[in-house]
Order: sequence, then C-alpha cells, then structure tokens
Amino acid sequence: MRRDPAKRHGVSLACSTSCASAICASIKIAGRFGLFTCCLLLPLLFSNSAQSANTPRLTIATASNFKTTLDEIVSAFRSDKNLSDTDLEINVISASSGVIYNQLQHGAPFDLFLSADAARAERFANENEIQSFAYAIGKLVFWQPANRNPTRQDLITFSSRLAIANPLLAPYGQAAIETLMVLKPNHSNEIKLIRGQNISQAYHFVDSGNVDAGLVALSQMVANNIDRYWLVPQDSHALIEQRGVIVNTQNLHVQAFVEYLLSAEGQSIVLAAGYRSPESS
Amino acid sequence: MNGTDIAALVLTLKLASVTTLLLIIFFTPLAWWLARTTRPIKALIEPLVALPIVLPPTVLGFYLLIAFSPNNIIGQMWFSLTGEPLAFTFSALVIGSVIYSLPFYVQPLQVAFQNISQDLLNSAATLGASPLDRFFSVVVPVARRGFIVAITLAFAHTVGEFGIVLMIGGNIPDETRVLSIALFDHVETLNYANAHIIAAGLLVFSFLLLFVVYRLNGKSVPA
Repeated sequence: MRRDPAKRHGVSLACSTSCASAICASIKIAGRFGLFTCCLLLPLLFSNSAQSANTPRLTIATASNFKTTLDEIVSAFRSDKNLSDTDLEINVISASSGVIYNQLQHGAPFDLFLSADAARAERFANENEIQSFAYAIGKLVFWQPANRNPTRQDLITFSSRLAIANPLLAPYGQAAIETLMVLKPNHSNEIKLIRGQNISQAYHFVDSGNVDAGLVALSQMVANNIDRYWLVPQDSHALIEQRGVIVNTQNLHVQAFVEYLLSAEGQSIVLAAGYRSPESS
Repeated sequence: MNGTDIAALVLTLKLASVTTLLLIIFFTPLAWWLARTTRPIKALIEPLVALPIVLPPTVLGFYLLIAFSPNNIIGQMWFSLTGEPLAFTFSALVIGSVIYSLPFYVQPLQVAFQNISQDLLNSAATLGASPLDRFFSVVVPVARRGFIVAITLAFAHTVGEFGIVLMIGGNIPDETRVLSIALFDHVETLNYANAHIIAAGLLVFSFLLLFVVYRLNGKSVPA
C-alpha cells in the first residue's frame, strides 16, 4: 500500500505500450531487410539523378488556383516546340502565393513564379529589380447551387452565410468584398462571410453544402462544368490581376515558356479556362 | 501583438480549455475501460483512438467538413437541435479538437491506469468503498501524474492545432480564427514581424509545457 505503483513504473509519455511494441517490431523488420533494400535501391537512385542531371530543367512555381490551367499550357508548349521529356524536364510546383514568395526569399530553386495576385509578384520583382508581367485576369461569379438561375438581384437580397476567399490573401476575396460594398452597401450586416484561405477553399465550402452560396472564380465553374452562376461585372471590383516573375533569367527555357504563355496560343488556353487575357483589359 | 492577434490568443486558450474539459469528462472512462478490459473489441478501439496521431489533420478536416454539411446526418441533427449550421462555428472546432487531441489524452491516462494494481482496488473494496469512491479516492490520487501529463498534452496539442481548423474553421474573428491561423495569415501576407511574435510565443509556450511534463515524469522514476 505504501509504495505507489504509478511511481514505480513511471508514466509513459508518448504512446501506449502496444503502440511502442508495434514500432519496435517494424524496426526489427526494417533492420533485417534494410541493408538488402538499400542495395537494391541505391543503383536506382544514382541512375535517376545521373539521367536528370543531363536533362535541362524548368521549374515553375504557380499559385494553386492556376495549376490545372498551367498543366494544359505546359503540354501545349511541349507539343508546340516539339519537346520530349528528355529534351526538357518541366516541373510544376503549386502552393499558395505567400508560401512560394517565402520559399523564394530563402533560395528555392524556381525559375518562374506565377502568383495568384499582383502584390506578391510585384514585391518580389521590385526587391530583385526585375520586371513582372500580367498573365491572366480572373473573373468573379456569384454561385448558389440551389438556384438554377442566379441573378444580380439574388446576390443583393442574399442574407445567409456567403463563402469568399480571404480578402487579405487572395484578390478574389478582395474583389468579393468590393462587390458586396457596391451591391449591398447597407446590408453587409445580414450576411456572415465564411473566409477560405484561397478561392479553392471558398469553392469547397459551397460544394460540400456547408455554405449556401459563394463569390468564387469563373475558372472553377469552367473546370467543374457548372453553368449556373451570375458573372459579376468587371466594374464592380478592382482588377483580379495575376502576375508572374521570371526568377532565374539564366535559364533560357523560361523566356521561351513565358513568351508562349503570353502568345495567342497560350492566352487562348487561359481564356478557355475562364480568365480574361491581360491584353484585352 | 495587435488587437486581432490578441483576440486569436484568447480564442485559442478558450478552445484548448473547453476541449480539455470535455476530454476529462467524457474520455476518462474510456481510458479506464481500455486499461481494464479484456474484451476482444479493445483491439478495434485502441487503434481508433490512436488514429489522429498518424492521420494528416487534413484527412480529419476533410471528413469533418463532409459530416458537418447540412446534407448529412450529423449536420442535419445539429441544425434541428440548434437552428444553425455546424461548420465554421466554435462548436465545430471543439468537436474537431476533441477528436484530434483524443489520443494525447487517453493514452498517457490508460498507461497510468494500467499501472494501478488490482490488489489496491480490492483492498479499498474490502474496506467498503463504492466503485465511484474507489475511483476518486484511490485511482485519481495514484494516477495523478498520468492525469497531469494527459491534460497538459491535450491542452498543448489543441493549442497547436492547424490543419483541421484550416479546413473547417472559415477564419472568422472571435469564432474560429485561432493563433495558428493568424500566424499563417501573417506569413501569407508577408507580415513577418507579427508572424515572428506568434511563432516564437508558441515555441516558448510548447517548450515550457513539455518541460513541466518531463520534469514530472522524471520525478516518478525511482532513483
């Protein structure tokens, strides 16, 4: 009675005993087969790196909302220039614009940065005394899945939870706020804004049924074959401009790719994906 | 720290406190049951409890958002009970956090309970203590350190929650905008000075908590 059992055994901090024994077992197995596996995998590793070291490489870091469109442009670029995988390796990395900017600040090996907004591309360009360029203009739509034919009036009278992209982070969110100020100047207290970290999350909030409606991107309507939405007029908000920066001017392929992206062929893919071309604005 | 960050701090502490309290009330019995039961179903419950340790929080967030939708049973039940949707509310974060921090509460407590000898409980029973009395006057004092470790870890883990909140929160000030989200927003808007304050604060806070937990653990090992 006097000796407290909890004191004798101590209290395990992280994991229960069963969990620990499972880890021990897997370590034992790994120990037995580890050397064997390494012997098998090592030549593979070396052959891979040897191959890709000779292949010219183009690494594009893009804002997530442009990823699928960019993939299309990349394959069109390949066929246009007749480039096979061994001629040029093109890696597309997608993340939020802020994350890419932060990674670039710390030396990420990207050749091209396609931001979801103008601010972060311009800031990076200014800091490095290079030029940024507009490559797409986003279009904002009012989407209410339960409504077969949403109109301007439906948005004006809407009084429930509305999904938008975070206005601090995404130009679509900023445009949504500006649109609401124009259309519902006295009604902003009725609606509760649900902010997604980006426009994809705002879309997902509506798509999952958790929010009745959202101010989202036309490109998302196009990508998901949705034709019930109200296209918000361009003059009710600031331009949703997506700008890019050539980070590595040493890489000759970047210049060629950006030229293609801004060419009539490249821009036709951008238009078809639900954006406007910067040329037309 | 600006006003919205302080609001995020207060909200974070509130979320962690409510979550920990709910874990203590509802899941202490589960830890006890897992420590004592010999039923085969234990083999299913234990991995279920441990799942949040290995699952990416985005998996939990993804499924929770589907579950909370008014199109589905849980979301519907909540709506008929409270008259408002569940997702993007403080309640939704509490539910997510309880699931997310469950193993960090249950596992240390289960180990502490397993270490309590049956003789001790039998003696108390012979002396006429009721099951509830045995729990509060024998089990709780003996497993005191287990409780402290479990409560501290559950609290700290909830403070550090990010992935689930990101998916089911909706970034609403004073309701779902917790510290980790505020930090993420600062990084995204390239506001690194404020990001540093929150990041360093969370780092020091987490270290201090773990320091206390390890000190308590160290003392429990006989010299």
